[in-house]
Amino acid sequence: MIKNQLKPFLRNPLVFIAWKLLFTRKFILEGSTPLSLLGLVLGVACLLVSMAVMSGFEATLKKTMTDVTGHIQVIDKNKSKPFWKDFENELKTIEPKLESTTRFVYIESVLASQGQIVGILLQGIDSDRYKNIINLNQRLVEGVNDISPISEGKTRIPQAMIGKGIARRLNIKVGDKINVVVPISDSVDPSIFKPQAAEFKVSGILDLGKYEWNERLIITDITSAQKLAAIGDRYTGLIIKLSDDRDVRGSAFRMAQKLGPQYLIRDWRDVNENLFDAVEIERVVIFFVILIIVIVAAFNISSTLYVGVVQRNSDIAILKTLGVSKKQILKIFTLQGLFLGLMGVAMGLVLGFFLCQGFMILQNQFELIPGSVYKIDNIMIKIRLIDVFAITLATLVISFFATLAPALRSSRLSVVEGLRYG
Amino acid sequence: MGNVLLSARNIFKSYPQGSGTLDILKGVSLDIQEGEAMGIVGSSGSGKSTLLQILGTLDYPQSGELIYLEKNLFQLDDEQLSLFRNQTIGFVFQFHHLLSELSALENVLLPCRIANQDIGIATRQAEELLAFLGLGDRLNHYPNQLSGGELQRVAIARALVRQPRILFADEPTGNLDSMNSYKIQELFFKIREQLKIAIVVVTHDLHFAQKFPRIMHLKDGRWAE
Repeated sequence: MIKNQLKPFLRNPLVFIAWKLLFTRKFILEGSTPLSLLGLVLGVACLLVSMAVMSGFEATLKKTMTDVTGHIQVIDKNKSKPFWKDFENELKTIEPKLESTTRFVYIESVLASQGQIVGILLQGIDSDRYKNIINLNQRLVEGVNDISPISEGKTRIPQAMIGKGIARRLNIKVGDKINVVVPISDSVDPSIFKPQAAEFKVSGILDLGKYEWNERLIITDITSAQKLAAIGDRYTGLIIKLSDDRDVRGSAFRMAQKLGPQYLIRDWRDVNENLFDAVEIERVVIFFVILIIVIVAAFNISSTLYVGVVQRNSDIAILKTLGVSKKQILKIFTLQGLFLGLMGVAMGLVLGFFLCQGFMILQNQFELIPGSVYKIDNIMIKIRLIDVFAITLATLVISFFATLAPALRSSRLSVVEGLRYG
Repeated sequence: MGNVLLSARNIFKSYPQGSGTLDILKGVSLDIQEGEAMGIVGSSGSGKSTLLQILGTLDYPQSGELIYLEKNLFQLDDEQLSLFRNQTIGFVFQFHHLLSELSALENVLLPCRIANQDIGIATRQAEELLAFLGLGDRLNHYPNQLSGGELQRVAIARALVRQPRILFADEPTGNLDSMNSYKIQELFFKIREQLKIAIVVVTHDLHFAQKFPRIMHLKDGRWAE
């Protein structure tokens, strides 16, 4: 079947000769070809896996960001918040892709539970709207995705969801009650603070995907947070969800242009800009570092072809007597290098794909990535077409250059010597 | 006498040897007529193989001209010379030099592929040629499945498949036993008779050479009287 598919391809005389001279049982099985090819295959597979991991890491980060922070955050620097419903309408006229918003407020506070205290960040959001904007359902490890206050007897008690790191450190379980303490400055002397505490019932434990969030973030209803911090109905800003997340940066840019410098517009990437920039640089660096493996493998291909040329002195000479020109001999051996390059790419990509699958399985079975070190404890593997294209192109270009030396030698071989000593 | 097809004029060829040079051909001239059969004889080292390689454009002399139909072949570039060899000349050597990865038929088809000939038509021609040379039942055999005589006949078929105007053979029977050698010798005359092409055979076998209507004797790089 493959033979039939190759027929039109093999009709080209140079391709036919290159193919026939390369893929012989002796050359493939007995020579150094399998080993050189293996080097190339491993290099390509390493490249694919590393690029897939980097892309997956970036995608994981993006998902983590958008799950928790939404697509865009709009913060009023002057803190002169308009009525949020009007503000939402204004934003909708600027960006028609705006699907939904929720107010949010961040309050630095202290959590006290079972005799232990830790510094936390209390995030208040609209309990009736947040589910449309941030995706905490998928982040839920235990409990329910609900932050609305509930009635217990005659009192209403606010609910909160906490990061799994806090839960682990303070041994907090779903249903436990925690005390959050906020320092309130005195209205007469702002340098004096008095603590204000509120009791929250833990409704859920979240895996927020990012180490520092898991260790610090507590999410609750905005009204409860505002009440605890005694800030009235003031809020930090709006979290926005767009109907199409392919051009979040463009939407953020349009909003920034219309709203002016008074507003701080941060898209999901801005929230962790340094991290994303580092990932981007790392991706390029890793690509070139691992490409060195491919270059080393290409040297092996080069030496294999060199040996092939020496062994085939007589065949090259006879081809020249039959009317093959020097330029065509050069092409034949260059084609052989490209065939090996293509084989290396194809087999390497397949191997890389299976290694990616293996990595996913291992990651699900064991804790391969310590969250405390890498901020994220589980990453996706994402094979991007652009990466596959870049790997293929780079490998073929390297194979081509590796082929040039033996190919040039083959074209310069003397027919007379080839016939005499071949 | 036919028209002159290929004419070598005053060919000098030497190789470096130590600090000096070793002169192989010392002003050799030769005209090859259309359809003629010629045997070139000489002792080992007399320069007959070198002359054949120069006549076949496989090697360049230090000086001299090689004229084919009023064209000096040594003024052509590699592409043009390769095309000339593919279209006009067939070579047979002492060793068959068949590509071991190709069957007998594929080996014979190789010059046609290089010429980008229609493979369907070329295959029919190659099959007919192999049948003419008594190898009709060996088309798909590989070189390691053929005897010495058969290998040389496949090499002859490969040299003839493009219907060249000149066939050069360098010791074509030098590697064969007497029975196969005799068969190949007969084949050369059969080819000349049927295909009407010029045949130039270099041999040290005087019995073989004597069968040719024209015999040239090379001695120390010059024609001997």
